[in-house]
Amino acid sequence: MYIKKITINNYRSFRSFEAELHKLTVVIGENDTGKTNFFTALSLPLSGNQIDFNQKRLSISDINKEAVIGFFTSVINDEADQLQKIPKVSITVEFAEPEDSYEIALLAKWLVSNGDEETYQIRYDFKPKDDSDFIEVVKKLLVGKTIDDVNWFTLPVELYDYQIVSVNNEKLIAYSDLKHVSIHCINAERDDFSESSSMKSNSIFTKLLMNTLNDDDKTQINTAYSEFFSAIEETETFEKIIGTNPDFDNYDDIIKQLECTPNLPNLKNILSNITLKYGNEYLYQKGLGQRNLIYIFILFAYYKSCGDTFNLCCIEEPEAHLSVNNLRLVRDFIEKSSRNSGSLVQTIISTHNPSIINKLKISNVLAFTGEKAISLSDAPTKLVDYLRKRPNFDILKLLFANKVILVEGTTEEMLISTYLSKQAGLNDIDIIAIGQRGYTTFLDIWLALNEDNPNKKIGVIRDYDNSDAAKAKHDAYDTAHTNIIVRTTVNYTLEIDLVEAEGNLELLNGLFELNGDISEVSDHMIKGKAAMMLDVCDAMAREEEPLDIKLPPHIAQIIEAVS
Amino acid sequence: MIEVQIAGAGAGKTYGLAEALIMHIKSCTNRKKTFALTYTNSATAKIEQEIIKQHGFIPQNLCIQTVHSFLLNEIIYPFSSFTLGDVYNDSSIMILPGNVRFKNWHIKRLKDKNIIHADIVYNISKQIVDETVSKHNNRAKKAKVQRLLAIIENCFDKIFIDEVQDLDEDALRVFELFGCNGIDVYMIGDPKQAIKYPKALDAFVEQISPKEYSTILDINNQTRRVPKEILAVSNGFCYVSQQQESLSEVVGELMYLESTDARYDELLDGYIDTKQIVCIDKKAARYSTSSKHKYSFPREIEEMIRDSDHKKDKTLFVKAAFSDFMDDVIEHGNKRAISILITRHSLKLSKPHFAQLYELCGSCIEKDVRFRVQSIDSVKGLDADTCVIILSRNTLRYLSKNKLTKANHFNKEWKKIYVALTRAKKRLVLAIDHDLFAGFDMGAVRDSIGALGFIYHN
Repeated sequence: MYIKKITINNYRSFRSFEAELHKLTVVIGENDTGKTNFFTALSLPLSGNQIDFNQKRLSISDINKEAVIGFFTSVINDEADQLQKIPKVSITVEFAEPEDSYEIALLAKWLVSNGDEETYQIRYDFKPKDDSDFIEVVKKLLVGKTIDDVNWFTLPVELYDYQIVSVNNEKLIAYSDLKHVSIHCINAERDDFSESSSMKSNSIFTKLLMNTLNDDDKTQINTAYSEFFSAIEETETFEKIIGTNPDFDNYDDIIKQLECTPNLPNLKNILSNITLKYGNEYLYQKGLGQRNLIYIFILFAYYKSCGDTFNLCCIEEPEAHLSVNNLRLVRDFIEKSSRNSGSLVQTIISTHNPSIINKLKISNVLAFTGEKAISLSDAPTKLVDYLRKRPNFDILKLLFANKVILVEGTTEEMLISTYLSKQAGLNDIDIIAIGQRGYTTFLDIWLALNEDNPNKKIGVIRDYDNSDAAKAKHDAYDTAHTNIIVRTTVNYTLEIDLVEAEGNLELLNGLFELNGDISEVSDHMIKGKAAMMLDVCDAMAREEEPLDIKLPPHIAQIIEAVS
Repeated sequence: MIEVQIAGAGAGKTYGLAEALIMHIKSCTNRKKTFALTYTNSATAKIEQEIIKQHGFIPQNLCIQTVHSFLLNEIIYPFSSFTLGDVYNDSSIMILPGNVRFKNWHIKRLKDKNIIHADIVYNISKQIVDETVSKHNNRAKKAKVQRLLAIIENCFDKIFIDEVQDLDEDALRVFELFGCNGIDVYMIGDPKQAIKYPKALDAFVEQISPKEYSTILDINNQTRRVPKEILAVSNGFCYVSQQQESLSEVVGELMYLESTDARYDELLDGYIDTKQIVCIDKKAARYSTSSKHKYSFPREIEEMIRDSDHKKDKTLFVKAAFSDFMDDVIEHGNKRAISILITRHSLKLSKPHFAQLYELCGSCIEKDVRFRVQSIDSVKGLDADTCVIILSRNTLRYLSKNKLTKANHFNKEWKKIYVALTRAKKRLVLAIDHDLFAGFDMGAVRDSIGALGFIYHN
């Protein structure tokens, strides 16, 4: 089983938001697109790390501000639909595909008929206890005010309450049922190994201990612990604490009854005082990266230990603080663990690291744009394979850069980069060499995110290669989308167009100490491959008497268009 | 699979059921839940106690519930939307009028608020899981019911039902469907004690016995509780094949007592105070069968109280208001109690609301009560050293079988007699209150009792 879909309303940055999840989901997005909010939203309808249920009570800042202002406006204007506009936070989680009878039993009571399909849905609500009472209070609050006078944070959130209900009957879900679907998050600000002053262990580790110790072990620990206290008692240190007092006659009689005794905490409390050592040091004294690595290992060990609960495992930026070697380890560990763990574990990670995305498959990616989440599950196999083979390809740059130019190989990349570096002003164009011919799969995935977004532009520079069909196929993208620009060399390949460009022949003859015509010079460059282009670029970039090479028109047009 | 075990009064049904439950839980390897169901909350508590006695604690995967609570929480609330398209998330025990049209009107009103009335829990449960009911009139709907049964199969391991004679045909059908859809069902009960639905269990057993998914176990006609002297009377109320045999070594005593005896009140009080069973078929004259919290406020009034101006927990507040109201009715009478209720909660009531409240008062009003005793319905499953039956005309008629036609055999009243007769471990006392037999020839009454072997109380 896994969570297939999540719908969020009026929670923080999400006004109305839907996302589809997989068994393994990789969340990507620029900063401030709601990745962290998404993780906290997920934790609301599920049973959490913490026993503390109060975490589910939201505060005013968790309610979508737009929704609050919209509601205030409708009350001030005395509109008819005030009741519908009350800002209510809701997060619906839809489970699907239970694999065995145990999983069916876990979900059965949340059965919802969805056309021919069956799904299982629960919902977290944070809303006024009573709508009409709430409206009354707000009306009083807003009397004689205009929308400019009121602050969104005056919403009387103390009249709100939260509940977790089954969608099929709107009935509260008992904790005994909810505890079977839980979530664990490793936040980007992780690492409670070191954060508390008491240097206590962390909750997951304590839970892992609870799950793994058998009854005999637990009895032994308890016995040892009470013996520890007996030993303290035997030192008779306690007796001196409250002594006799001869000033009062009956003082000693009263005090006689008083004895010190250890306040034996329960096993969980004892275990929460156990912490990890790594080599000769406490783990919390180790470096951030090392701790991060161990933490992720512990989390998956914990999942293995709890076979009776569905666990949603959320890891924010697993790459954080990791060295190259540890990153490779973690990347591999997450991939294999999520593949090998049973149907009761679902994993979501967020990342800014292209190698993690490529390893964990682009088709598992959920890309956040700020308004919506776009699933790349339809990414063609061709692209998935391409990225798995080239783990260092910067897919994030392709998807999120504001201005990006795709080129076939390093020669184009060097030429354009050199040209741009000579321009005044900050360079805000990313150039990606894709290392192959044919851009359509890249354009398709780019369009999935950026279609019709005027703030994003992509340019494609191609070689003609004597193929009109390929040219037509690519030009179609240019025609259909205002933010895509496709240009092709006039001649067979870049070098010829470069030599042809105004004044370049002479400059290049000079550089290569030749005296040839266009075809001789371009042949020379084509034979020399990247090395020749490097020479050209060096000459363009040198401090003294830089070579003033003109860009071929198709490249110039693209730079012009994306700038 | 369905197993049906029939066992008479005092056969040790609860003990045996607890034993079977523990055995089952111990051998159970999967993580599905096992249910032990019975009709009343007090019977549920008895099973719990028995399990704790035998096992030390209640295992985690064992749910002991009433049949109603099981059907509500495990079937109706989660699945009524799936196969019926109706949503229920709460239930009501408000008094329903006898008139079928009014009754249905009230039930419909409740349904509009997603509330199910306790009276229709069995029927709605059947509609949810039975594809042969008319609601599921096409292939798609039938397929959905099948799909649901397949899902439910994954949730329940085995269902044990105690006091199965208290189920009606709809409830029995629900469990039959579970039984033939991969869930083990074990039923134990006694058709001789089927007071609520006198025919249902007999008909059910007859209908399922030829089916390959059912096993009807040998009838257990032994009783550990009832001494053979009492059986001599109670066996007169048993089917031929269900005559009981006593394992008790106690010598039973059959006695009667008349209200003209100066010791009458004192003796009765003594039995009540020492927690013996004192019962009557229904409340009459000086005898009350206290049942004041059997009902609740009518739904609309309940909602007004719930939403009235207070800052307390809404559910608890309503319960407290109801309890206060009942006390007021007894203390101050109907009219005053209703007016107190209205003032206290600032209610605005319509005419029908008043009618409903008066009806509610009527159900609990008691004048000149001298003895608080139990109804025969409510002593089912209980036992004590002594059982006192306050004789009513009707009880006497059945007990003496005087002018009783064959058609009246094995009906509700008949079965009540069997229940009342089989409660005592030692002494069975018939209390004859002359006020209840105005105009009767008491000599003849004495004779017919004497003929059954009852002697005067010493």
